[in-house]
Amino acid sequence: MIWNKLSAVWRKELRDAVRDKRAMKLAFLPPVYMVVFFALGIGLAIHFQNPEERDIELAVAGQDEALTAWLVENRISIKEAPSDPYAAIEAGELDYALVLASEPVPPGSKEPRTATLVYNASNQKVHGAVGEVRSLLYRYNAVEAAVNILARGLSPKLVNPIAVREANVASEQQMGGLILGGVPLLLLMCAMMGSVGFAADMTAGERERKSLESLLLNPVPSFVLIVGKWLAAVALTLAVISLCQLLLFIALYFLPFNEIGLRVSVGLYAMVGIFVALVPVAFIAAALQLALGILSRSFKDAQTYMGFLIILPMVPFFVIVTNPGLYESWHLWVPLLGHQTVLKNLLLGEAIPLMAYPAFWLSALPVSALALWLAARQIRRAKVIYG
Amino acid sequence: MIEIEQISKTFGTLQALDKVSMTIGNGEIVGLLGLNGAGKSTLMRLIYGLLNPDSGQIHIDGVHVQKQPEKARSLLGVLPDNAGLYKRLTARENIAYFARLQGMSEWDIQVNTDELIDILGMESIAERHADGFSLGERMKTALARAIVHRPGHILLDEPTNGLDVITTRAVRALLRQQKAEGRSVLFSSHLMYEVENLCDRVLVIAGGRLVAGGSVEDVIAAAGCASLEDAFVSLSQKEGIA
Repeated sequence: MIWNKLSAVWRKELRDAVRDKRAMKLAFLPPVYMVVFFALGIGLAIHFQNPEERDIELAVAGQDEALTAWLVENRISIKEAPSDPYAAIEAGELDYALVLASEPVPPGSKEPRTATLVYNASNQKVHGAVGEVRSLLYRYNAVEAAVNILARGLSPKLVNPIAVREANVASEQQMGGLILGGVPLLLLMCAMMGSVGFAADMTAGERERKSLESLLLNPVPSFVLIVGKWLAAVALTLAVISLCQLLLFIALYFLPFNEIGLRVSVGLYAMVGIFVALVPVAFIAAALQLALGILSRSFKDAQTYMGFLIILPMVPFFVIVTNPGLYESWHLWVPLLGHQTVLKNLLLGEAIPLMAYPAFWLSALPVSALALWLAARQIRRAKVIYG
Repeated sequence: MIEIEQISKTFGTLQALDKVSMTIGNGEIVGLLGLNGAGKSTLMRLIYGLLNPDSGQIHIDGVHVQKQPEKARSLLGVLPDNAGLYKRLTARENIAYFARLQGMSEWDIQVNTDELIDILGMESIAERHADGFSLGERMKTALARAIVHRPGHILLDEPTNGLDVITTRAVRALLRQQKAEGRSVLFSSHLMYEVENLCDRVLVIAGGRLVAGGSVEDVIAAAGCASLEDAFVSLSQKEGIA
């Protein structure tokens, strides 16, 4: 009997919601534009990270044909420097320049020459390019020295007793983590916002269109009405999360992470894991939305109050982003806080704490139950019905 | 049978109802007359249990409204004032939703809904979304929704307010049919001809108190007036001055 009534409420609210164009747009458009903006942002980041793409234009004063030819060979474009490069850089008209000997080098000369790299170290944007040119100069040095040594019948190894190599210890996953750090926030925001419009209509909307009194005249306990509405809101939130995840899946598949030497592969298994972790968030979100909604006189009021739900996932996000490695196992028991870490691990294909899922689900239940209990208590108050 | 005993209700300092008692028997149509703010809606809300009285008690077929509110509500069909519909549902879906909440079987819902659609002349709007319904169409849908579970007692708060003559006639016909089937009807109104036309008994409420009750003739005689309207005005004003 109770189940039939619960199912009647659930089905009616779903039917009502699906026909509500305004709320449908409010629910299903944000995941689309959030993922599109995310993909554009990551795409641009990859573009700027990629050294192949970087365009260095070097102003050169003086002459050293062999050296400039080597630079051009290494994709540096050469332009004529102004007459006083030092003054130009000091004045900020030029970012950096290479000053060579003013006289051309006679062919076959073995005299050491001077190349001066001029730049203003307080100018942040020159460091990448200057470093690139500097390392090319050192490499040119080594190459020319090796040729000279070889011409005298000696091994080029003699002039390079130390071979310098660089190894970036950041693993692919860690680099990927840096880039994918915003994805958990995006997913949590989808989960928190998914049913805002629907929940507002189910509560404040009932008050606004004066259908609440008639609804309460039926022999149905308050908690059946609230739980039926809640189940409908949860179902809608899960649909929004699914859309968000599907779009992310597509975006992550097509983004050219390999161009910056990263291997980001988020498989179906990880996606299912993320979904299961987000279900309890949907429970909490829908319950809080209904509790806030029933206190609101109108649909607009309700949306204003629910705005803060969107801010909620940002708090743990900033805590975790500004303190990486802060993770403690009790975080799992604080809704939304543990999710930051666990969702990121799932995205990167890393192991997650054993207790993650039980903690998420068990901590969500009392919070949701409390919010639903509050909503069910409010709904029959004369002030809510007639106020 | 609806039995109301010594019901009082105050809102802040306002005494909305003061020791009101009345009985509404099966198979009778009772009109509740009163000026705006006389306490008609408050009395209705107390009967269907969305407000609680400060003192006194109400029984519906022996069921105590405050102690067994859900059981009591299943015995009632209520059309509150300003009954809002779900705009994105059709008239039929609006009716069926409340029927399911009353615990009816799908078969009964189908049969009863068809019958009400027929009596109230709602064939043209049954499959239309309620958004854009006229006042009369909204009222008919809300009325059908209120009585689809064939309750023993029907409470209507100003049901014919603002309706055109055709719709008013349809509502009247429906109420007479309900009476013929042995159901009691209590409806509030401030339209005299409506009450004279339809009611077996009239209750006049003024300043939160029941000031007269009985057949239309009894009320006119008690007030010593020539018409129900004169009697109503005289009774209401007397209470107002006192």
